[in-house]
Amino acid sequence: MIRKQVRLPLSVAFGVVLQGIRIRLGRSVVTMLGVALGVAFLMSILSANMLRRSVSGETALRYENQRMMGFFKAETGTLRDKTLGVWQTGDLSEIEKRVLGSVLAEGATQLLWHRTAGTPVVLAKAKTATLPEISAKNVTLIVVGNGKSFVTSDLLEASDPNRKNLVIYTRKALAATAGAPSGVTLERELRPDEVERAAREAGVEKVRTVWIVVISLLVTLIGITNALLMSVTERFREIGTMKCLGALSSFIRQIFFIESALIGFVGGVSGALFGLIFSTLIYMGTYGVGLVAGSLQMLPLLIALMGCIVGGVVCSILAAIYPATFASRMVPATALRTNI
Amino acid sequence: MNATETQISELFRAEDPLKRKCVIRAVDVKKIYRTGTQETHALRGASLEIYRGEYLSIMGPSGSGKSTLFNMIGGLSKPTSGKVYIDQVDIAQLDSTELAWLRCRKIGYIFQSYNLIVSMTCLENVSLPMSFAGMDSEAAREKAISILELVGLGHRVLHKPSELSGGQQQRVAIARSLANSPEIILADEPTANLDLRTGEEMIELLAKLKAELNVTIISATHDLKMLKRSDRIMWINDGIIAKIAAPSEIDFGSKEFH
Repeated sequence: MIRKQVRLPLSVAFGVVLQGIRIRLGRSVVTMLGVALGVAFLMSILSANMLRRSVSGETALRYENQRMMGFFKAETGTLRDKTLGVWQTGDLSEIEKRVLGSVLAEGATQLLWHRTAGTPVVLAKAKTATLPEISAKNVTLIVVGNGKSFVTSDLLEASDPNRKNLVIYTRKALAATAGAPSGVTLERELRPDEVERAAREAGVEKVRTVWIVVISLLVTLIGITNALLMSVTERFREIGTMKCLGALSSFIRQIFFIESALIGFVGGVSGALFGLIFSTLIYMGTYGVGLVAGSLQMLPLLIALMGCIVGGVVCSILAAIYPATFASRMVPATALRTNI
Repeated sequence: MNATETQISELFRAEDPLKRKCVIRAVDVKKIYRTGTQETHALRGASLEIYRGEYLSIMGPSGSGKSTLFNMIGGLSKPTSGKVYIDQVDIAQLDSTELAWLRCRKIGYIFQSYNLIVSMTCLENVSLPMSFAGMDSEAAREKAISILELVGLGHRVLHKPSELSGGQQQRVAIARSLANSPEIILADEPTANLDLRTGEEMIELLAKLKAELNVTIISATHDLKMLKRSDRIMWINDGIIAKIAAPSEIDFGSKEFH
């Protein structure tokens, strides 16, 4: 009596694939390099975009910091061994943190910190104080809060003509210190047409990125399909033999899918890492190691890295559909007759 | 029963007074290969019966349809018309999982070029059909070792095919064909790639298996020594079975053997 052949657990196919890869290491590596190249291209484009954005952000921050410190020192003279007052009226923005950091780096010994709102900030040289205490010390007071633009004005001078203090505060901080006279905004607001142009450029940039991503994925896909098809051709005889020994078509399919997923994973990981390192090095060479290292944003890069690896694996599995189906449908006699 | 089948049974009744059990029966098998507009008639209506435990040799020049017939009775491809029965079952009626089961359990294949899986050791090559049959790996391992010992390769179980001589590789292939204790062994020119002495050893081995395990051996061959050991010899020419005879009725000195 003739019965139906049983399906085998995936582990059997997995073992066959691992052995096959070990024996055909050379060509597996070539296929893997194809995947790696596609994924590396993708990853370098993505990470270069991110790096450019963070580097330009970092450049802007540095420029702004320098400008603020210029104003600051013009008012106070040297900061070495000075005590300063800080009035925190909200969460600190990136530039405010920079300025405070620069103030300390210039040699200020202590910050008398008064907080009315915002997340507490931990600084080694900060000491909690009340406004009257700060006023009594007759020191420069920096008002900081949540916002982007800085203004300078002699805020406390207005209420107390005996004190010659500098105030640095943001527009939000200005609102928080209600009743104070208005300061001078140092940052120019963008005109509507400038805002529109910036949005349009961002849109074009986005389309370009998507286009490059799609193209590189297609290149990867075609590259892997081609490599796998060659590997099917090379293995006609082996496939035929396995069918003679009682392998089901599904088993043959599994072999090709597992193999290409494995190759896709290894190629994806190595390609993504290579692409990331490559574009980072290029940017470090262009903008300096410090600037790039200082502006690296880990989370988005990590997400892009994961995305590229998943992309590589998915591409490989998609690329395996045709070769796997082709191999599994082959009549054993045909497969055996082929001489390579 | 149609005319051809009646004719066939009569043909064999004369030769087979013992009424042995028929394991493979082909009835008016035709095979046409189409390449573009070109039609090649590889088989033009071949009918035969093969009995349990017999040793049948198939002879024929290249292009005679020998390999095609071989593939048909081994369930490796389907005839364009006509029927092939293996154990009374029409293989055209089987789905792919049943065909896989048949190839796995009923038939053992031996190929001219061995067709071992190069990435696997001898042991893995022999136990592969067992794992296809669902046998657990430990039992498969033990059985594979005992079969490799049977073919005289007990000391080479962990070698890769590339580390073995042609004769040793063919022994592994024979061991593999025996993996699931098949009723039928199909051997396609098993001695063609071997030197004389190794070929003889192979023939002895097959004869031993036939005697001890009562397997049916069907072999395409031009090897005189193999032909002489077989129970019946079948000539195929131009897609038609030209003659079936016992070795005793044949003059091996005639020029068609040289």
